[in-house]
Amino acid sequence: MSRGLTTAPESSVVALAMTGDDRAFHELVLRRQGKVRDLLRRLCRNHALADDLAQQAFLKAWKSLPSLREPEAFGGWLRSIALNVWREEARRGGVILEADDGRLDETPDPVSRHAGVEARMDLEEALNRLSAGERLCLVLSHAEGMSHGEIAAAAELPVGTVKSHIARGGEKIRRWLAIGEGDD
Amino acid sequence: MTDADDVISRLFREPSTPDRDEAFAATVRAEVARLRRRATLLLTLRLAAGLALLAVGAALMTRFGPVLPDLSKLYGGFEILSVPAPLVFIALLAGLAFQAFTELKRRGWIRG
Repeated sequence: MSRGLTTAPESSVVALAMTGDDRAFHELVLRRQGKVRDLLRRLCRNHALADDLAQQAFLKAWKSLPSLREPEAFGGWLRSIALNVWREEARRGGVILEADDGRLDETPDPVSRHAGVEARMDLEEALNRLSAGERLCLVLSHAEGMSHGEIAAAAELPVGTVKSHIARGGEKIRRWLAIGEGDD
Repeated sequence: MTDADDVISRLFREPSTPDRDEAFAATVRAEVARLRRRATLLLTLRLAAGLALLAVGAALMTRFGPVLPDLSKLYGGFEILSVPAPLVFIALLAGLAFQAFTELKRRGWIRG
C-alpha cells in the first residue's frame, strides 16, 4: 500500500475508488471497517454474523460506488448500506422493529459498574437484552450521534416510535448498568 | 444530555474492533477480486453470445440473401432505406461494441 493513499484525505481516496482503483477501495475498507463492524456488532447479538454483514455491506458499496454522487458523503452512505444489510437480515429472521418487548419491569440484577473493556462487555450484554428496535435506535443515537429525525428515516420508523425506543431502551440500560443520574 | 446519557454515549463510542484490521480488509479484497472475475466472465459470455448471433445472422444472409426486405422496392423512391446486408451486420457489431464499452465504463474499468 502506497504511503500516499494512507495519508490522503478520504474524499480523494473515495474519488479514486470510484474510478475502479482497487487499492483505493482497500484503503477505504481499512479506514472504515472499525466503524461499520462496531455498528453491526452492537445491532447483532453475534460477532461472527456482524462481521459477515459488514463484509456484505462493503461488497454492496463496491458494486454501487460508481453511483455515489458526493465523495464527501461516503461515510453516511456506507452506514446506510450497512443498516440496510442488517435490516434485510433482521427481516429474514422475522424481527419487527416497531415491537416493544415490554420487559422494562423485568429488570435483571444490575451488572456491576466497571471501566474499560469490562464496561463495554456489560454494555453488550445489556444491549442483547433490548428489543431489536430499541437497540437500533439507541445505537444510532448514542454511537452514531444521529438525530431522532435521521434515525426515523434510516430505520423507516415513525419519529414517535424512535423517541419511545430511545427512552425505554435508555432507561433499561441505565438500570442494568446501574448508572444513575449524576454518575460520571 | 444528562450525565447518565453522557456515560452511556461514552460506552457506546468505545471501539470493539481493531483499527485498520488487515485480515478483515484482505477478506473483502479477495471477495472483490472474485466478483470482478465473475463479472468479467459474464461480460465475455454476453459478448460471445452476441457475436455468435451475428455470425448466425451473417451466415443466413449469405445463404438466403438479405433478411431485411428491400424497402425501396416496397414503397418506391426511398433509396436511403435500402440497406445492404453487410452494413446491417457492421451496424449490429458497432452496437455490440458500444454496449460493451458503456458497460465497462459504468463499472469503472475504463477511465476518462
